[in-house]
Amino acid sequence: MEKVNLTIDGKKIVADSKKTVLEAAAENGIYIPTMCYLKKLNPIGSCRVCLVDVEGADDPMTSCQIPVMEGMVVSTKSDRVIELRQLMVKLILVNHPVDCTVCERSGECRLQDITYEFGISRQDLKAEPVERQKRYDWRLIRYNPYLCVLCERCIMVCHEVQGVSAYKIKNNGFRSVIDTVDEKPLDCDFCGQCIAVCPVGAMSSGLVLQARSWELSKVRTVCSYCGVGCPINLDVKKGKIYRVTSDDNIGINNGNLCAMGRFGYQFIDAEDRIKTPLIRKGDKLVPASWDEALKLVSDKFREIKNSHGGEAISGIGSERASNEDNYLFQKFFRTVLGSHNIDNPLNMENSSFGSGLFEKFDLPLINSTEYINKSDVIFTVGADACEENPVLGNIIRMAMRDKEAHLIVASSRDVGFRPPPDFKMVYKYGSEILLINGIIKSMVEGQGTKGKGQEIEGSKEFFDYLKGIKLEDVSSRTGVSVELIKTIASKLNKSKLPVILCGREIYTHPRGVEIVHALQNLSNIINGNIMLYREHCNSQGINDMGVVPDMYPGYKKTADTEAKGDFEKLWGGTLPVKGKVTTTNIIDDAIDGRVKALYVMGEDIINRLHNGGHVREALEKIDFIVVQDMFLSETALFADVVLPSASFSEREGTWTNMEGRVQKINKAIEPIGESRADWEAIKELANMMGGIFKYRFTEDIFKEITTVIPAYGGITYSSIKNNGRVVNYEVQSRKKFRVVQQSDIESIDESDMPFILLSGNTFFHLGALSRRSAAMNMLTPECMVEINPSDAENLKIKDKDTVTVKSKSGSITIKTKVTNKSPHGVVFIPVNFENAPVNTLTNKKDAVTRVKIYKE
Amino acid sequence: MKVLFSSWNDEIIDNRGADPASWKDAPVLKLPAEFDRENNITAFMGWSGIILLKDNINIVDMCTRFIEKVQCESCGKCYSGRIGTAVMQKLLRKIANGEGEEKDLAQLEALAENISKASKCSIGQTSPIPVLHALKYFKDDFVKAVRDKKQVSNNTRYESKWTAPCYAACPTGMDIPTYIEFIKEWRPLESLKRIREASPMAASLGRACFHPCENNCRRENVERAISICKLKRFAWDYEGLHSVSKPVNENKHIKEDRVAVFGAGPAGLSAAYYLALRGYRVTLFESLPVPGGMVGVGIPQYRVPKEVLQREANFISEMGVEIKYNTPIGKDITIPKLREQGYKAFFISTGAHLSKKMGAEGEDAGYDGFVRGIDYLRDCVITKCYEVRGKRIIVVGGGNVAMDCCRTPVRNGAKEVTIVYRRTKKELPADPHEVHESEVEGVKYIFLAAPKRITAENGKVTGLECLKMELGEPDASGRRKPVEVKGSEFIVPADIIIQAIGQDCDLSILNGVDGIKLTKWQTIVADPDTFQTDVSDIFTGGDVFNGPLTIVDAAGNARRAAESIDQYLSGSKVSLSIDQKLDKVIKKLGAYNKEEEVGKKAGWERVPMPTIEMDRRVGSFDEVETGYTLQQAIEEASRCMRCYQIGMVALEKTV
Repeated sequence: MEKVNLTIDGKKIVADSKKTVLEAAAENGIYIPTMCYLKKLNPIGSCRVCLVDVEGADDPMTSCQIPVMEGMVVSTKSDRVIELRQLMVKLILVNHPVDCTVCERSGECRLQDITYEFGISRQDLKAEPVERQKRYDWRLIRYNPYLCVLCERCIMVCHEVQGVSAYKIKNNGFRSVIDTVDEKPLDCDFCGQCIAVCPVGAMSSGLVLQARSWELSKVRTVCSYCGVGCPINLDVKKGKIYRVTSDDNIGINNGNLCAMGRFGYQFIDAEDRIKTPLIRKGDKLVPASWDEALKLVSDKFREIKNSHGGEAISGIGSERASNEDNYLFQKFFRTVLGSHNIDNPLNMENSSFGSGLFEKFDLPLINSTEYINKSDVIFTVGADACEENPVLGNIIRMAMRDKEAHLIVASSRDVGFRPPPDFKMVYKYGSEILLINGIIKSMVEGQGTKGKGQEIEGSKEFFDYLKGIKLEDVSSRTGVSVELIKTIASKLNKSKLPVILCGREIYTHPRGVEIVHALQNLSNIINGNIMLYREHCNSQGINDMGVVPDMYPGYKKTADTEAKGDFEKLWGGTLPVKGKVTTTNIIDDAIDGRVKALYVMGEDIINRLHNGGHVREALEKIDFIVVQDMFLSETALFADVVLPSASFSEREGTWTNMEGRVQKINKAIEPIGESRADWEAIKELANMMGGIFKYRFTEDIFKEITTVIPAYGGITYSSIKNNGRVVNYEVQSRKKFRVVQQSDIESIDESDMPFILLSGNTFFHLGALSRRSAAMNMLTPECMVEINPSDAENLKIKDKDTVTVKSKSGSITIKTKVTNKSPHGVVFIPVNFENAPVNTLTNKKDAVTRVKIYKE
Repeated sequence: MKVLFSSWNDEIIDNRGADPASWKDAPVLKLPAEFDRENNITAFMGWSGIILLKDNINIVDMCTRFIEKVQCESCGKCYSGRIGTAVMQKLLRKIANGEGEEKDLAQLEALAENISKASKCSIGQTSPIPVLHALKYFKDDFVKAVRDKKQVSNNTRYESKWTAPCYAACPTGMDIPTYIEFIKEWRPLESLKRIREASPMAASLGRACFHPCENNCRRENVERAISICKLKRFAWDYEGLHSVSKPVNENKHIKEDRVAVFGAGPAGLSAAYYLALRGYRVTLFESLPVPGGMVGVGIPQYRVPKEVLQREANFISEMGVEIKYNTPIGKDITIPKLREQGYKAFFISTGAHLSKKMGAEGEDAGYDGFVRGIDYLRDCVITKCYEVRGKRIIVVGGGNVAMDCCRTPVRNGAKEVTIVYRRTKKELPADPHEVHESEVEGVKYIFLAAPKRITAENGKVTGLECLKMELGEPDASGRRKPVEVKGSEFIVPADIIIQAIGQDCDLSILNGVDGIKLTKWQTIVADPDTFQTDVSDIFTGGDVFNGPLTIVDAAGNARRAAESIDQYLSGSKVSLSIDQKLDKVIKKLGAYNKEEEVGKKAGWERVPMPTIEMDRRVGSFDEVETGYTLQQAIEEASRCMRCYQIGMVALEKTV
């Protein structure tokens, strides 16, 4: 980058020519006061507080906006600019109610600070008061125009970072206020970024703070929702969490949070948290002591182990529990119970994206989001970045703004993006492989023998295969025009640093593995990096920890006798050869009567796994069920013993996010009631059953993890700082073409079940916890089936009608949402709603779920 | 002109107390005395000072009213403009109400000084200026107001409006600073929406506009004007590349009245667009097979690609305009016949597509190798390009058509292209940017030469005999008139001569219509404000009214004409609004001062427009300019100083 020389306050400095005077000054330790400036936004220039004098210019200029120039001489402290800055702050204070005593922002208010800094103690300026309307009808966001300084940060963050562009300045002059663009009550992502960036108390949370800022201590931890893993702060006072905040310039999120991350914390002290262990007495679960409960569990487990062997005891770990919890969970099963029959929901759904991730695919899929930051073309496949992982959406948006990255969105639903993507393909569900092959075909067609990818293993066979593909055929079967396929192929082909993001639709897809293989072929040609979304905060970690039936921690196969020997040495004792249970699916095994006891840690499997009815049936067949959870979930209602689990805010540990980044969660408050961290319960249980688990702190467990799993080697709690530590999976990147053929998904009689059912996450709910958070339920209280307007019209269904959705596995009653987001013939139902459990409709055995819809 | 007082542009003319007969002259001031038929202007207050024509103005009242207006117009985007002027307003109202104190005057002055220094846009920067002038030159009036403790007289009628130098210079009246600001804020689609309020032709204008705005840009006083024109193109391109939903016309065909528009050039397309937006059923008749009029057939594809123009026309069709190509008017279809079919109003914008004669011997002889520029360019688009490969070309003329005529053969493989122009480079009427590009592409120039005779052998052109010229006295256009040098004939050898010295209008459209007057240049006469002709249902605009002029003038005429047609059809008086009258006053007074010293640090240079390599220009019609990227556009837009400013007139009923 070009450098220029300039002088600021007599100090000679060298700066990048693209920097502003403010940035150059800051880099050189020269302080210029600001108010509207925010590093992550384009300069706004409304507050005029950062004015400086520049030699050769009559008027002072805002340092946040002017670029550095060769030979420039800047004064940040001339009498004139100091006077003008003071005037600016005085002007803000005209009719600004000095209600600091009752203002939520007091103590962290930029206006307070700057008034104090400038020593302003007298106000001689007045303007005629203007009546303004406080907006307390915006649900989770409250706007008080009397406190507003119109710095426009909220407008800009909403537009640039969030892409919602919900706000504008209404009226002119002194009557100006912030309002929504359509002047109706706010209807947005409710990410609360506007609150986070407001320098004063104008924008505040609908979850009213009720604490003074200086009383709150911030505990740095990680958000417990999705696999992005945003660092957050829990603001705590006297054992209670008052709010979630975040810091710019830290972590993957750069201070950005989504609605769930910012407002979805109320599950922590929800009324219905389980506060004591519960034991089944007849058809009731009654409170019991920990000793009583654990004794019962250990007795029962021992009894079953003795009579049926350890293999008869199965366990399901949690994608939300920490690495330490999950590690100990599998160690307890393997060393104490002598069972490999453990699994996790992700792996149960499709093991290729769980335990098989590093052997099924030739290229690494767990990659840093740094690749997005640097990319020039971002290709999302089966992903709804705005809704599913809003912060990943923020990251993509920043690449679009700063790097002019072009965005290509491909999905079987019209998911779109904000701002609108450069290209959008809505393909027919099930035709993904053909579409990807078509794109590759369009790329390599006519490139000759010296073209891209010729040197890669398997190229001849692959390119020969492509010869048989006709773009017209691809187009008619995928629903994407030939012209668009060609345009996108050319865009990807010209890209220097492409990134391909696979969303939930892909890893839950019956052909998910082949789709990723097809994308790897594409990636081989364009030299791209593939990234895989992870749904929950520790979906990656739980698989690393070996909560899978066929692999030890670190993906060492249980069938491998050498590995067995190694782990026996590490852990002491004898490990089971292999469980008697033959199928890998615990639920099917239970149906077949092979599972005598089940230990479920932190998952509501009835609402989570495919075919909820089937899961219920399985649970009914199991003799003894232990559920460790924060809430009395439907699964817990089947339990014989329920153990109260502490929330993420009440314990220590680590999570591994979708990038393979290990981040530390920290204890902010004491466990609620008698709840305990999962690992503590497991440890005690293990020790009661003859295990020797001597861990005092989670750090002890983590140290063991780092010795057991080489990829985690070298990571220590103290070295995990703000940005975490990335696991070194040491995956060999083997470029190789595989011929991936489109094979149509067999379909059942279409006349009876005309719709393809898709499911996924939506804005305000993920997993079980958001449903326990009042704020999230206020935003989306109920589940709705999304249906295309033309389909709705054919069925004579209107928006918000109540309908029955029936598949061959089950049926649910649900309200409709008529939207173009669902293409013709496709309906979408969000997961996570226990009162409309879409998983009762799905069935793992069926490649695709077809449903019919009718009004009762 | 004669004024009682003026502090305009800091030049003080003070005739107070003097006998009107002996008033000193204000030679550069151009404030019109008449506002409209009913009202005279007695004073003006605005961004650059105060002008009083009569002594019946209470200056305290005028300042108060002015700052009140500023408060209403200030955008709320900076603290000083938004709150600072509110504080000034309170002080001024206090003084005007007879409740002021002397210390208020000092505070007002200090505040005005500082707001002027610190504000983000020119509303905040310039609005305090007339108040400061008033406090300085009319101090006694303020002191009297404070001491008398009486409300000052407030019977004068004031009208005011915002303006900006670029805005005032744009014939379409486009809100330029706002559309630039939207680009800066990464809101290109909102920018485009604002652009379309003034013209639907963002693609053509953003590529080929003569951009008078840039010649009136205050940033030029610092270092270089903002690239206003090309930012417009950026917004349009962005929509094509990114947007999934184009705007829809919610008023489509809500009215029964049908309007016929003739000519699908910038004027016709624009008029049709605005009429369609108002709900009329518009049919656009075009004699050519392609849209764009002179933009389509006169501007080559390397400047405005055909598909760009087609997309622009498609957008207008989607708004509810029926475009009938290959449909000339004046023979089978005439205006009277269309009247019978139920068309209620007509807009004539058929342009100037006939080549003027250059007055050289042999131009009517039908020589092979002699071609008229307009025909040459048109044929290149709709039939076939003249074969020029390996040939020597002479283009006669120095305007933008000549530029297009010389840069086209370069692309078709001509051996040598030479421009013959009768004045010097300095007088070339073509856009300097075009001249520069032509030179880059290898076009040669022969200045101070006029065509006298076409030399030919066997009916084929062999060259052009020219006369040397020298510059004499300035003519009516202000340019020095070229004068022949006797006996200076010389021959420039050539295979092809393209004559591009100007165009005339084809008026056959008026067949069967009585009552329309024509000028001596054979253009249609209409009211220059409303574009209504003497036949009340016929309106006009574009080159057929202006004579060969610019795209943006045509588009501007059409925007206003559509409003007039709406007024006419809805039964209201066809006339200008107060705002439009104010725009006229401001235009006359001048919203841009070339001499102004803008107190900004120079050196933030314009972002250069990316262009294609030379080797892709020769032999190809690929668009030369590739357009700004997003980051380039944001950076360029960030240079804009948002030079909004407010002007206010005092009015007095004519007796």
